[in-house]
Amino acid sequence: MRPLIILIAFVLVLTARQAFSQSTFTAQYAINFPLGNTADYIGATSFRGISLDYRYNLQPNIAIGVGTGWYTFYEQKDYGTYNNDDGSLAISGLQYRYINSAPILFVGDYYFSPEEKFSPFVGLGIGITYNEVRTQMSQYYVNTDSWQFSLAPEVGVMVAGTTGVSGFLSARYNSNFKTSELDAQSYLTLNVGVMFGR
Amino acid sequence: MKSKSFAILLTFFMLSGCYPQGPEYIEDLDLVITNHDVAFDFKKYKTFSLPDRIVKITGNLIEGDDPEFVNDATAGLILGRIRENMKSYGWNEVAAAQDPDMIILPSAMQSTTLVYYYDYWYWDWYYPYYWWGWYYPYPIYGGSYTSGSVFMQMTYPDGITAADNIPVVWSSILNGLLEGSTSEVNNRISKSVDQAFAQSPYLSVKSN
Repeated sequence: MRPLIILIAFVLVLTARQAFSQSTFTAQYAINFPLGNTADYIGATSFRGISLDYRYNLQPNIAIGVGTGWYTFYEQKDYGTYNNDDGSLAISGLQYRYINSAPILFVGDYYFSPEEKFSPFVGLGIGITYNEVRTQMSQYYVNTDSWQFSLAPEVGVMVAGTTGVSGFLSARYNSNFKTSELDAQSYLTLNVGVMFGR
Repeated sequence: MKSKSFAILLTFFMLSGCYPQGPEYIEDLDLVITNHDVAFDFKKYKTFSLPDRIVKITGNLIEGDDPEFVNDATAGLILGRIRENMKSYGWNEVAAAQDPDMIILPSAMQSTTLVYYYDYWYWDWYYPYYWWGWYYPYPIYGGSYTSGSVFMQMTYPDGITAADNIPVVWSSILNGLLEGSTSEVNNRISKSVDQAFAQSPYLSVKSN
């Protein structure tokens, strides 16, 4: 948590130097809930995540931009025995599982009530996500990584604060499509953060 | 733009805990691997033999080095656990000269890994240079750890091939750090031997 507080402080410092009129920058703490294949591999919720978004307002209620982030899933499995398909090989030990996910999305948002204090919005992100899956036992690990095509619908609400600073809360469903290297991955991201420039 | 780039870089730098937590204790790194011939019917056989000592995989026997052996205390512990587990599965131990069905061959090896880190950023800071030649050495952070493996191979002498190869129908590798007191290491080895047999129920030749 301490590095995250330092991070937010840095973002506040640098964005305070600029006055956004048609552009906004959002930094958010991200909590991620694994779904589908991701949940089959790691069932634990991720509390290690950050989302960064930039938007350009085409109109007061329509914005386009880019979004990125970094989310880390981790789970330690209980001591167990793992077998191969034909049962000839068995490995026992503690298993540590990691997924690192970094989306890069082009995003479009629609704000329903941009002039109100509470302004709900919906959005859709399209892009790619780098996913790395690591399984470690003892000193040894197996890594599988891939760039996957991604769709990310989002709903949320902005809470207008002082001039140029707003609160930001959203839920984004990240769907990463299967590739030859990696099965489809999906998770729900809950973003809580601050928007600068609106 | 420069400060924004720095902030973005700092963001990712501070998120460098991409592989959080992980193993915390030495025993968390213990690994037991077993492999066997799925087509081999162990229930047809009954007797086995064990050597008196455990050879260390080290040196170079081809060049004439004498073989080294694991110390008697640890070897006795390992051989004793193998013996107990085989008996619990219904096997009878016989001498090597009595034509056993299986001969179990344990061996062991250890390796030491050096870990070092050289802080190349050190050279960004200037330290006064004394003309008579003394200089402040740059810092190198280092350490080492020793890991070890115990191998157990169950050979089937009657299955010797035309090329004089004796099949290994069951094998096991026990791997972990050789750190801590001797009693702690021996305790972990003992547990690992037991685990190797616990995950190999097909070795049981008991009639149910």
